[in-house]
Amino acid sequence: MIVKRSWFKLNNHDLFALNETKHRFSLYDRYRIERQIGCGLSGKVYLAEHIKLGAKRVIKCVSKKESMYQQFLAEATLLKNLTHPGIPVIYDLEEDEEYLYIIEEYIEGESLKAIMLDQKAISRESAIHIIIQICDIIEYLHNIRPYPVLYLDLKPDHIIVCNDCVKIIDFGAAIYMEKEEVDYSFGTPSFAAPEQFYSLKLDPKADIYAIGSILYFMLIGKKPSQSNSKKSKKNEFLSISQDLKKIILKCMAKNPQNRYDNVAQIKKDLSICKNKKNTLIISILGSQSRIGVSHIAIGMVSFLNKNGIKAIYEEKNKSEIVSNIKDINAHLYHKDGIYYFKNFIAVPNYNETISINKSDFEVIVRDCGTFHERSSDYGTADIRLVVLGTKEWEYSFSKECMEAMNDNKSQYLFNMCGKGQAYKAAQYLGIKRGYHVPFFTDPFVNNGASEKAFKHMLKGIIHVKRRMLFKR
Amino acid sequence: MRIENEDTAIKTIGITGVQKGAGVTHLSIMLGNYIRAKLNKNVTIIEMNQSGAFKELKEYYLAKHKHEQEYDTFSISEVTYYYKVEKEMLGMIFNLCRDYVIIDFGEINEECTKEFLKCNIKIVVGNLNPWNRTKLISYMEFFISRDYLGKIKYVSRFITKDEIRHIKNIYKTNIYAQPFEPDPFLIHGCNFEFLENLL
Repeated sequence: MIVKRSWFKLNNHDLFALNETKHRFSLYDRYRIERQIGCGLSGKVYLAEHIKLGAKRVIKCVSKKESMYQQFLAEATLLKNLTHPGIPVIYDLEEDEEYLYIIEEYIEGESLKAIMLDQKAISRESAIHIIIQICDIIEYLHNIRPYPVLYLDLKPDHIIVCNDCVKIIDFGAAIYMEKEEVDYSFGTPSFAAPEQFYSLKLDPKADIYAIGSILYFMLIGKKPSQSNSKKSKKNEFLSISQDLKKIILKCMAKNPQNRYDNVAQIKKDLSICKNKKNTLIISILGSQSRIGVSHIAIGMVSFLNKNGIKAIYEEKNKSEIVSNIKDINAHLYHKDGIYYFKNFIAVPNYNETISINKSDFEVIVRDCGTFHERSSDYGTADIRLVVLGTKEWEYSFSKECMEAMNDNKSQYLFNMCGKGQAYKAAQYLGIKRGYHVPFFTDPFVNNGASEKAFKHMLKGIIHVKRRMLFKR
Repeated sequence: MRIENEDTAIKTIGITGVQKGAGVTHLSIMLGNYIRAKLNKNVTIIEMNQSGAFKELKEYYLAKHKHEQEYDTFSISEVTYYYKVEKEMLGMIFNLCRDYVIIDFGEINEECTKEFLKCNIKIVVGNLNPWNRTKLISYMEFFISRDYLGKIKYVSRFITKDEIRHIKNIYKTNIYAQPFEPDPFLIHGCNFEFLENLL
């Protein structure tokens, strides 16, 4: 039985109770009201179902006696002209003597505020993915013709994440750009641009500020501090990478003139961040098993970390070295899927269902096993090293490896030998340039000779890395 | 039938939700992938509910990867899935399993509760937002009254540290905040701690 009643005067408890007795509330015989899902300054918000289509809708209703009624009406009028996948669709507008009803698209997802509740931060990739979509929506609003729009109330509560997509809700504060002056100052502290609180003249730079504050919120896990102290800002930014820090600071410049000119510029910088490689990848493989690839890779990572370059060992073979170490070495501990022991930091060979954030590391050293088992992981590295043996009985493996690789980008490394032995092997194999690493017992510690060898080998490599850092 | 098999030491994990859409299947798949990839153990996930989610998953996955399988079982990333499983089939499936079996019971009901309580690890998924919290709290009280205090783990999305402390103080039981992980087939390392706590 469908009942027409002032259902919006009932609270959820009563609504549910009555629904249990098979009473149903409807709006104009088209929408069945399910429950209240929100309550704001402008009125109440209900979840409803289109009776014929069976589709979910959101119904916002506000009393015509409310002081915010005109604003509510303005919001509906503004929204009905907007067409963007990130903005809710307005299906209908109804009114009676007392109330105005906006029937809107139901967005099933969670607000950014809910997602970030008690979460330290979300991953860099997710943050960039979300903020680019927000920029898309704001850019659309700023450029829509004939009447561009300023949103002016970007905050985590108003950003809804539905699976992979982002939508912005609540256009109660939005104005047409041509209006130039708002009727009163407003804004959400920490997210709104400072000028929203002391000036009635606003422009797109106010939304640009808010974009920066949202990005900050996602990466740090808390609202931007309103403190002006340089020390507090410096501390807050410690965990954010340089490229994103620059974007945040430029968006949130106190003086609007120092901010980005438009959202397109932010998107451009964000896409560079998305694609930018900050990490140098070194892949190592060997001409045969037991030639010392893992030993060298572990030694290299330990050496780099000891000397202040953040490096991580990545197991890209089936040897399960990291698992074996962890079973024996009680001092190896792990956090967030990464293993630590002295200067050695490692990621085991997880399958495709695990994603470990390695963007904080300056160098990744990939242990690719032998050339028989090499995968595309080897070929995509910035620096490729092939470990060859120097004993006469190892030459055939070395030759086979070099022929199979047929790669002029790989560099050769002779393991567990002196300079003379390395030179002799290089001559035999027709290698004009190579490195040698002397024998060292403990790859987690290194000795003087191995440190010297790594220093020599990596000198050129670190120079490559420094050049990469400044590449745009 | 008893699900626990002491001789072969298969660990059973039962997951159920206080309402539809609580995230039971999502968590089951996440846990399954974590056990396989991080702990390197064999794992089987069994769908013991009527949602049909696993069948859809199979159709999506197999259509995407052009595999052909006929039976009510399939594999993704070395995790085995069984769908449309009735209670009578459990014995047969258990004989094929090693290490871990995760049972997705879906929305909690009287029939599945008995099987759920036989599992080694019991997880109840709910939501503590204002319009859903009553259900989770009432099930918590129900299980505590049946002497399952400390034997069931509760999981909620979007829960604050204060709420976790509050629940622990009142009910003397742990509740875990499920982190944001949109794709259960791609688990981020920063969320390992949550999954480790469940195991």
